[in-house]
Amino acid sequence: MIRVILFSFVGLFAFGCVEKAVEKPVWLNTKSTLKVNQDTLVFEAEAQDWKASLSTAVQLIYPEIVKTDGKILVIIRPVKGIIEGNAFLTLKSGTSQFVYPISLKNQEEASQLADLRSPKTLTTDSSMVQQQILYSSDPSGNLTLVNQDAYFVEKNIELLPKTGTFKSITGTARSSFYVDAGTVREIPLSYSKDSHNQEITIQAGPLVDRFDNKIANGTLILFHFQKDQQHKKVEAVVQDSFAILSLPLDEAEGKNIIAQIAQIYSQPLTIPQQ
Amino acid sequence: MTRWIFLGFLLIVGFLLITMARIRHTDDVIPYFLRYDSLAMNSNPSLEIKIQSVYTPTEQQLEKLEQDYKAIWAHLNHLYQHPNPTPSKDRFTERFYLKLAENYTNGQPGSIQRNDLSHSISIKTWSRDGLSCNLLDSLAEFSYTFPDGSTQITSSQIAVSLLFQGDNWRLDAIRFIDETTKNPNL
Repeated sequence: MIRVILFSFVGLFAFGCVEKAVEKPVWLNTKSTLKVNQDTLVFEAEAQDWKASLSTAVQLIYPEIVKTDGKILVIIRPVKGIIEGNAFLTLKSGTSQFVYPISLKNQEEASQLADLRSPKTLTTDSSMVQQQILYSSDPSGNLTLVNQDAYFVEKNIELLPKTGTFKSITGTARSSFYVDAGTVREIPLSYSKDSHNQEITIQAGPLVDRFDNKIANGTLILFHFQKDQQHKKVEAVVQDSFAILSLPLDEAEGKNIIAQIAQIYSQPLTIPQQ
Repeated sequence: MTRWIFLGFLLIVGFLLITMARIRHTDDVIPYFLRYDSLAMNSNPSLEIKIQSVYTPTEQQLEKLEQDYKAIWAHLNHLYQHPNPTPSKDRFTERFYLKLAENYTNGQPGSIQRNDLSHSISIKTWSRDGLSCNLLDSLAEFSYTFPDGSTQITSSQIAVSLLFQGDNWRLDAIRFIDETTKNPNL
């Protein structure tokens, strides 16, 4: 009798230590495509400590789990939207794991167009044809169709030869491009004397390109002073399409002055001797 | 007296050296050329490239694109299981990375593993300055390994937009157009 009781206790103890197999939760509201922040998955499941993870197309996220009577609710509520596509929901309890394939979509959100231009900087000397690449994506990073059947659109645009900073159709910093003035068309030279201060001011300008755009501020201009065999060179920079050089009168009198920007030279200007 | 002045001077110098050593800023961001991307190095799917763009990349540009595209997928596969995007920061543009960072919560690694087996990409647009590339990965094959040890192979069509920023190509936007299972077992 004692032996029977002993065996019974040993048997009970042994079977009591075996972990009960967890049954796979039954997905009650089966749906092929789920919308994040909207749809909730309802499972009929045993009362267990369930944990959920969701392998979305690019990143693992952890949905919320709400337990009710014999049911668990899985709520997919990422901070931001997700990359849409096939995903796997894993429900885990202890060592048991159950996987459910699903397809995820975000709620409808407006797409943003990316308008990339190449080259980003043009001068009016070069070709004014610019490559435009368009693609659009939603706020979560999912590409969306630009037109009815294409995710990417490429065009060649001929720009007007007008200098400035432009932001294309999207108005974003990434889409900005710049048109700079080309080579100066000619260098008009003039001078004015200040007899009182014994100074002379030499002015080069207006300095514009062949499309009447002001050439860039800071462009280097060289003034060559020549008399007999003597040659002197003075550097200046262009500001608001003019370059102005002031110097003592006796340094310029009787000399020929030629201004130079890159390979363009002005007509010689002779300062008469007083 | 001179000895005490000398010792005092030594003490001041010692104090200054210790203070300078303590306030020395240690930057833990490793320069790009010293970084070793183990994820990218351990991934080598087969990759086929077709050029359908008006402007075409050079051989060197193609080589770089191939290398970086594989690396991007190595990081995407890592994120599939480990949601922390920080180690993959250099593989995404700022706006794409920010979305991943905002969705990140600390937790147990996922139990499903994804590997990319092959890609067949067609370059749809290539910018003249070589800084933008849009492509269609028409035959991306993935292998999924589930907690019970079973595997599933899928074939996907994916549109990808890449931008060359810093020293490498970065993912700016992506679209899984479709994904079909080759050996459905779930």
